[in-house]
Amino acid sequence: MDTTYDAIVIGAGMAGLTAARKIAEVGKKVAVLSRGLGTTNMSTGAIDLLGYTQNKLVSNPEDEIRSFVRTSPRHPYAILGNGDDKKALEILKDSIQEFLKITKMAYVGDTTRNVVLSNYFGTYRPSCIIPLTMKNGNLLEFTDTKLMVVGIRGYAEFNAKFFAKSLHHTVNSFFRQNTLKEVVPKEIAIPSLGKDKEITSIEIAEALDTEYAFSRFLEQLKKSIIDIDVEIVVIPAILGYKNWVQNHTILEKELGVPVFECLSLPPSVPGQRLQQILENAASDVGVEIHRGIQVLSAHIENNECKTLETIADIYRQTFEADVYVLASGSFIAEGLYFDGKKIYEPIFNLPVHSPNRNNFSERRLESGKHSIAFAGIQVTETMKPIIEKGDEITNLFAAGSILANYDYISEKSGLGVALTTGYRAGMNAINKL
Amino acid sequence: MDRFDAIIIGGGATGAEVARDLSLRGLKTVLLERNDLSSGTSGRLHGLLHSGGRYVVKDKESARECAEESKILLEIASNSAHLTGGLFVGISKIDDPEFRDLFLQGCRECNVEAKELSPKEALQMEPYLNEDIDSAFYVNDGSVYPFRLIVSTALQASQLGASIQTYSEVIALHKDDETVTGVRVKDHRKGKIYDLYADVVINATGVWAGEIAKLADIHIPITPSKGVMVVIDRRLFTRVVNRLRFPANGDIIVPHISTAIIGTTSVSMEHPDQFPVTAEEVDEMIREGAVLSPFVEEARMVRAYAGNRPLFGAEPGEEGREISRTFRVLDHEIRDGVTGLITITGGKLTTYRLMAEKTADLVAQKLGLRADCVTHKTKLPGAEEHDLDFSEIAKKLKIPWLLADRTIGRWEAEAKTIFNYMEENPITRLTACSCEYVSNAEVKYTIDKLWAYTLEDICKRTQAGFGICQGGLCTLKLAHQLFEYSKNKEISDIQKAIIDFIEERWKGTKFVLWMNQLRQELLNQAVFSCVGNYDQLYKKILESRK
Ligand SMILES: Cc1cc2nc3c(=O)[nH]c(=O)nc-3n(C[C@H](O)[C@H](O)[C@H](O)COP(=O)(O)OP(=O)(O)OC[C@H]3O[C@@H](n4cnc5c(N)ncnc54)[C@H](O)[C@@H]3O)c2cc1C
Ligand SMILES: Cc1cc2nc3c(=O)[nH]c(=O)nc-3n(C[C@H](O)[C@H](O)[C@H](O)COP(=O)(O)OP(=O)(O)OC[C@H]3O[C@@H](n4cnc5c(N)ncnc54)[C@H](O)[C@@H]3O)c2cc1C
Repeated sequence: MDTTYDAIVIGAGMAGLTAARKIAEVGKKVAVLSRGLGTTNMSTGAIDLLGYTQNKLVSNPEDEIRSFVRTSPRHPYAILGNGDDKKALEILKDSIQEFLKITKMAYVGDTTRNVVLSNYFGTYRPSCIIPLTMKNGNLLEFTDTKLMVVGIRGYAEFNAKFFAKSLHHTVNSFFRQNTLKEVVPKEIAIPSLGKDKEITSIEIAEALDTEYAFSRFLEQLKKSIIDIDVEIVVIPAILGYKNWVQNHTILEKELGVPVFECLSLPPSVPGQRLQQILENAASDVGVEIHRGIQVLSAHIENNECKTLETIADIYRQTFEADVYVLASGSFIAEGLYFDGKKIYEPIFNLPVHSPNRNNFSERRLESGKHSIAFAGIQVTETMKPIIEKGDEITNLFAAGSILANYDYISEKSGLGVALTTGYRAGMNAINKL
Repeated sequence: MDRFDAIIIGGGATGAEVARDLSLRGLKTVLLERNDLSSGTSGRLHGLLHSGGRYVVKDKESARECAEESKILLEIASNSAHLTGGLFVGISKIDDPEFRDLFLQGCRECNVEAKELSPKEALQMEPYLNEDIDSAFYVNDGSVYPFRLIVSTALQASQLGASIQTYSEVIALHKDDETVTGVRVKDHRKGKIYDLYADVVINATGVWAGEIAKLADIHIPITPSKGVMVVIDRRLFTRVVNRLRFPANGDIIVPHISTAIIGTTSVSMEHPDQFPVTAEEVDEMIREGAVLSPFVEEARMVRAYAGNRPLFGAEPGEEGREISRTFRVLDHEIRDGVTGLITITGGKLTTYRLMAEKTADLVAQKLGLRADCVTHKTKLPGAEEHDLDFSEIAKKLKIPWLLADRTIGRWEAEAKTIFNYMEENPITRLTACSCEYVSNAEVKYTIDKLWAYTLEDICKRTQAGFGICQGGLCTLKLAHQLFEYSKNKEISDIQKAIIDFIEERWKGTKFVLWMNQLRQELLNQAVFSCVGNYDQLYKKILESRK
């Protein structure tokens, strides 16, 4: 195998695949090395830009991100524009436009308007750039709406009765009064998947890619809706891996009402679809994606990264490129590592910024108070890791959830930061080449 | 119907057993517990069923009691007490070699069976042991799962007519002159206050016994003595392993299902409600645990927790003497001139049955009742013989065999009730917790029959949520079950139960968050907060309930 490239990207999540695609688009030879699947694959598939600042629900993410340049200059969104808010927004918008294009319009959204979606807990949360199948679930557009929620027998992760009660209460009490008039729970069985057997979202989605199971599913849905005058139907996120967009269109047409998927827990079908979209788009422009390869260390000489040492099973291999993008994710994906005393970035041993000795807050649910969430690699405005003078690595860029100074869980910004910083790192890598 | 023969305050092992004992003697009792059953010290212990070996040198009375009682428990509570066997090992150049002879002599004096092993034999039995040992003994130590022990005890009492009332706190004692006649109770679930009356009130509140006594203007000298324990993700040993030395910090490792627990410490506290865990204490447990097995350092820390022992101080006239760590039954009529009140405190979990027996004997004497104790020969529900076969059941009910096997492992004969639920309603065959293989039927059983009102209550009884994912993926599924099966539940109650559960688990995990355990925690936070938005909604949910 040839192991010499123009650019090597470490990590096959939203950040890494976006950077890789960007670089390959200008004709460069690019490889992505990834140990396994990261958090992108586990996510709900809905791309958050910025859902909350100071615990307030954001309605226009662009406005808030613009003010970050002043109020939180070290936030990755502020760094995108290097102190210039217009530039930051330009990069944000360009990266989203290009993303929408690669999804072949299977995603929709507007960077000036958040939507508010429901999830398996029967609660709500903001997001922004979302799969088409979730579009009709924007609670901002509901007034006194009568929903029907459909559970699937044997699929225990999603409970229609619980969802109905919880959503009705949570939305009307804490989001906006009179948003929902009623949420009616129904349960259907998909005969081909067996009765009273435990089934997973993955099994259902795979089945619904087949015409046989899908037509049964549709039939059951039609029956269950017959004597209820519902305005909208909500289903768990299971509409297939290949045919989800088409399945959704057929459902809406046949049922005669809008249908939407709600946000799911891992293993999440829409998260896996997103991973697939990103991988396909990168492969389409020639990116080589090497799975199962773990990068162990980097060889640095004269302030340049020369090669990467990797391992796949027991096989060691050296990879070489002119520029490198580090998009190995945060703790969950093992881009960062905490041994109880110190936080490490294991490949380059880059300095890790960790804001506070006390990693965790007293309360688990206290939003934005767990300081470990803010830990990561700090970067310059060109997305280069900040390293002590003399030790800089001039051909290395970093992007995605490995970056410091933001807490995606509380502000709801995970995939948005990964997408925009990945895009930016890719552009800068091109300049370097 | 507010009159009873006896009111028992405290739903730990001791209180539940007093209820069982008195019920078996034919009395009408009520058990009042301010929180859930075994939410006090009985649910915050090391889980060692003492052979007595631990005490043979310093506290011979306790050693004798443990030796006898542990044998009885293995008979009557075979579903929650297990004979794992135990080792005492002396570490070369660290542990005082002279302790060996004291130990042997003590074992002889206290009837604690001990068999000397060569270091090589010990290492063959426990390959993960520190190789640097110079002496070893085998003893009949075991492990005990307190939550199921205590619910089974309460279940038997209630089958005999006892009333079990959890989340019911005693806030005052009714006194008629110098006679205690009843109690005032606050029901925390319904927010009601009510009174109950009885001939005898039994204070079985362990480390809180002094607080109850205060309500009758009586002083009891109890010092809370805190102990910290750390749970690791692998069983390391199949037996309990003790250091062969004078009891000190972190010198016992108890295997527990798929985990092992390192403990413990002893620190005097001001108040019984106070038992914080500090990062230093966790470090100390790991350091000391690593002396017993170097593999402790590689393990993933799952959780840390602490409890307060009720250390009974010197009574007037006893000052200055070395007092036994065994239990005390206080007859307040003789001691303080207050009739109608008895306190039982101190002791160990291993001796709870004996403690209850002595207490019930005194109650019987006071009430002029001629009925002997039979608890030592009355098996707990679940401990009876049974012929449940997991593979047959798995086939019949079409459930994974591991689910059948684990269910029987937890409930033994009582598992029948759970399988009956599955038979009646196939949907209850689904698993609520896939790490520990807990079915919806089992969850329903704890809600229907075993006083489970919250997610934490369910998990303590079934072990759901205690597995690798630490509740990340099953919290929502368990909430579904609580919603389906508990009566009169508002959705906001369920949401609060979710929040309480998430925060309750946090108390144990936040000290051990590094490496893989940290990854799991961040994933769980993403599930609760990034997807479920519970970080933004919890305040609103809690406020709306006021
Ligand atoms: C349960 C859950 C739900 C979420 N929901 C949402 C949501 O609804 N909306 C949203 O916007 N965000 C959500 N997020 C956050 C979002 O998923 C992440 O912020 C985002 O995916 C991060 O992307 P990334 O590319 O930086 O990292 P990742 O997707 O984690 O990718 C990191 C990659 O690096 C690889 N890697 C790591 N170390 C090495 C190595 N040494 N050698 C080779 N490869 C390596 C990994 O294998 C992986 O492929 C969610 C997260 C979780 C956990
Ligand atoms: C760190 C540690 C490790 C231990 N390890 C072991 C071991 O390995 N083996 C062993 O045999 N023993 C062990 N023990 C000892 C054992 O845990 C205790 O002796 C035993 O659990 C005491 O049980 P109890 O029922 O007397 O008290 P508790 O279990 O404390 O019960 C008292 C109950 O009273 C309730 N209560 C208090 N006030 C009120 C009120 N006002 N109204 C209603 N209810 C009230 C409390 O909520 C509590 O549930 C250990 C103890 C500690 C602290």
